[in-house]
Amino acid sequence: MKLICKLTIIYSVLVLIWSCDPPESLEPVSGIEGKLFIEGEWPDSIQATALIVLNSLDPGNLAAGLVSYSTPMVSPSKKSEYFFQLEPGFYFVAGVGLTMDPVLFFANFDSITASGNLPIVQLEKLPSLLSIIDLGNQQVLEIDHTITFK
Amino acid sequence: MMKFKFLIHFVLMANLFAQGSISGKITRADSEDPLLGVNILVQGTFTGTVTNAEGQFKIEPLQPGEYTLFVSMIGFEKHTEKDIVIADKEVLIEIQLKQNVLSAPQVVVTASRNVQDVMELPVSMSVIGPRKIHDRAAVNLVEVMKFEPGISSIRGQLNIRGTSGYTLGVGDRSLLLIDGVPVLGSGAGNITWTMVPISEIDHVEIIRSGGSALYGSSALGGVVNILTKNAPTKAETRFRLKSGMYSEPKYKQWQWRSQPGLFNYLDLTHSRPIGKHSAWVRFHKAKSDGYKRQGWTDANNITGKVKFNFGERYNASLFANYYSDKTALASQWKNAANPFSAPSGEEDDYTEGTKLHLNGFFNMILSDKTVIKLKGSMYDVWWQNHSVTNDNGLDEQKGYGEILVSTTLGQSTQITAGVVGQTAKIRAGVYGDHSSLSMAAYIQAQQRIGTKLTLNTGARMETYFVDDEKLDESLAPQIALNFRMFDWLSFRSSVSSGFRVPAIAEMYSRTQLNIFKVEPNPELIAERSQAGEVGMTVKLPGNKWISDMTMDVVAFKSTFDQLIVANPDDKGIIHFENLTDARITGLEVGASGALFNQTLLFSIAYTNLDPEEIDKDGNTIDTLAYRFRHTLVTTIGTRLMGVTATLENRYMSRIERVKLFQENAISGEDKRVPIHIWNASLGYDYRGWDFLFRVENMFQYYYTELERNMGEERHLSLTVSKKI
Repeated sequence: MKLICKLTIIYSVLVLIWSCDPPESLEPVSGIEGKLFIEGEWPDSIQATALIVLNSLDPGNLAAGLVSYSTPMVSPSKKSEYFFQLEPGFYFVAGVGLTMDPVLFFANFDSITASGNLPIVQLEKLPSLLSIIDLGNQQVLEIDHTITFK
Repeated sequence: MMKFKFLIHFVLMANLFAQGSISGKITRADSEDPLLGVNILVQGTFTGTVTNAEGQFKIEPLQPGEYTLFVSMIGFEKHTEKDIVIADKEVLIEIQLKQNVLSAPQVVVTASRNVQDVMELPVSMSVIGPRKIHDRAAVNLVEVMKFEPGISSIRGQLNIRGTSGYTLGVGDRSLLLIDGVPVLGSGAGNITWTMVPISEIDHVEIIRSGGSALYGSSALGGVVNILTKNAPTKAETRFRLKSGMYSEPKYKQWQWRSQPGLFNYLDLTHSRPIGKHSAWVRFHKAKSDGYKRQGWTDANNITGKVKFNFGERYNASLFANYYSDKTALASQWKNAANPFSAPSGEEDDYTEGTKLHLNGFFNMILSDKTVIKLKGSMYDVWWQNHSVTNDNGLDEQKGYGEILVSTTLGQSTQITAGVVGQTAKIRAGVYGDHSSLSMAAYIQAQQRIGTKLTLNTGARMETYFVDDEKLDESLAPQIALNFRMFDWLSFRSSVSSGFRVPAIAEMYSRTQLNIFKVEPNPELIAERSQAGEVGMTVKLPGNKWISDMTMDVVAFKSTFDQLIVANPDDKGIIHFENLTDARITGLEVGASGALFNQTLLFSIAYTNLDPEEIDKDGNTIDTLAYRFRHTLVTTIGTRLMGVTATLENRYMSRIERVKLFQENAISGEDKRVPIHIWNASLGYDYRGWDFLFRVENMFQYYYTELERNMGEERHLSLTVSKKI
């Protein structure tokens, strides 16, 4: 009788544990990863390049759709890796150039953006931006990207 | 007249030379078998002994008077034998000890540097007995300590009441002692927990409130004192092998290797008496593939302890620990899509190093009221980093010496005082070449007021020099009161101040690991704290259904001035800075006991913290980074037909604030979640072979304690141990 009583208690505790809602654990994410290649010689005016991710495309104001940006690759590097963690959806990826030292840029990010005069130049023309990326849930797309300097 | 004088002289002399003794036998209450190794201490003196294989003991000589004996042994309930009247004869007593399934020691030494009943402690303390270590098959003590109230860890960095947070593994605010002698941290001021000879631990005492008044700078957040085993009275060899494997990540996207990761931990110990003396030596090998790409380790550890007995009044101990390891080095995961992989180019980064730690003490019992202890310690560290982003090393030597005098005045007051000196020389690529020196003096008085009150007062004065220049001077006082209303109920309250001088690493580090760049800040000054707590301990008398029921509740508040924080600036460069004032208020509730004739065991510990950054006026600025607001750990276990089963749960609320990578609501980056970990174990003792099967993180819960560092994956292990 005692044994049955003890086993019942243990069983009840286990049922209680299993019946609880599973807690919120980290899960696989969705995103875009790949390599960024530079072809050609870096122009003197560009100090670093980066990829930006946009969720809408306004050619006059790319910043309006900005979701994320990669760690800048400084001149004269030719290759770097990138990863964007993104919610599922539609995205555009574009290469941009920084005309000032990226360390200084990020150190003074707030004041520079407040000035409205961003030291960023678009490195790719609109047609190359029109390749829409459709990102599914927990999907990681591998896309290599090349920026060509003439 | 002459005759009268002679008579008085004769009576006085007779009284002076009248000496008695207490002898007796201690047995188990259930079987009446004699108990070997029971500690017996005469209250208010330094006189004591242990029982032999027949359970017998004898304490002599004792002056005529009334005595109380503390009788304790891990695994049994503490016994107090009161009102023993000694005249000039031998008093015989027989004591039976009841088994205590929870097996935590009832008598401790760390809180006031003297032997104390756990119900009469002036400050909050957790005591971990060997059973808790055994039942978790632990190889790292932090894994066991995390189940105590008020204690958590972030990436292996111990946090007592949220004092440390996470400081890149530098500048621990907890002091580690082995047998009461400090294990000196390296220039980084951190503790190498893997050096602790976990299979040779008798028990662990953790002071959860600040311990600077007795133990100095490093004890700002608390003290962990590891009491190692003494060698038994006959030779024995013990081994323990823990082998297991890590599960593959449950999501296919995260799986990164074709073979499961394995780990093996071997402990081999031989201990024996050598004449009047005794010794043990232990070899430990740890080899693990790790649960992530840069999680492997390969370590060897040799530890030895010799206990010298030079008669009744003199004893000494020498402890040596040599540790060498090669360990993978990783600052963060590759990216959130590959959380078990290392960043590109860092797949082969590792560190290697050796550590030699020697400590010893010599006790001289001058009388049954006065003892002098000499303590010494030496620490030698060599360490080399092999990384693509930096390739530097460290060579460091530290020395420590302490003289302690403890004396009992009358029947009710015990005074402990001492002086301490500590020196260090560091040559490091990361910090440069530096030296430091500290000198301290402390005094503590423990006074019994009546039969129910114990008052502890003390202070420590400490002076620090770095590179021959005086860095700081601090006075840390403490006052604490224990009111033991009944045998089963006591209240305690304490107020103390503490301080911590910055570690050399915090002042002078110049290094880079992956994207983290650390710059020096030689202007750092000591941080200071004021802490207070009010607590209550209840030990309920047992019956058939509930036994060994203990409950401890404590409310505390600590304020910190000039708290040293690893603070990234706008450029992402990290400086250690006296960033902020802070206040941590909290509540700890711990309960444990046994139900149904000691069949079902349980323990529960809840900690609530309110960690705040505050301004000079005490107004809240923000939450302190890297602290868990709620922590709840529960354990239930049972013993049925020789099988031991345990189920553990550890819950920690989501860390509210971090310093390195903030959550990004738009992209979903660096999401933080609460931590829910379930562990289970099943043990069986078959003819002296002890088997323990254990699953940790059995539901494969994924979380980060530190940003971009995945928590430990599910792992299964089988531990086999045997005493020969």
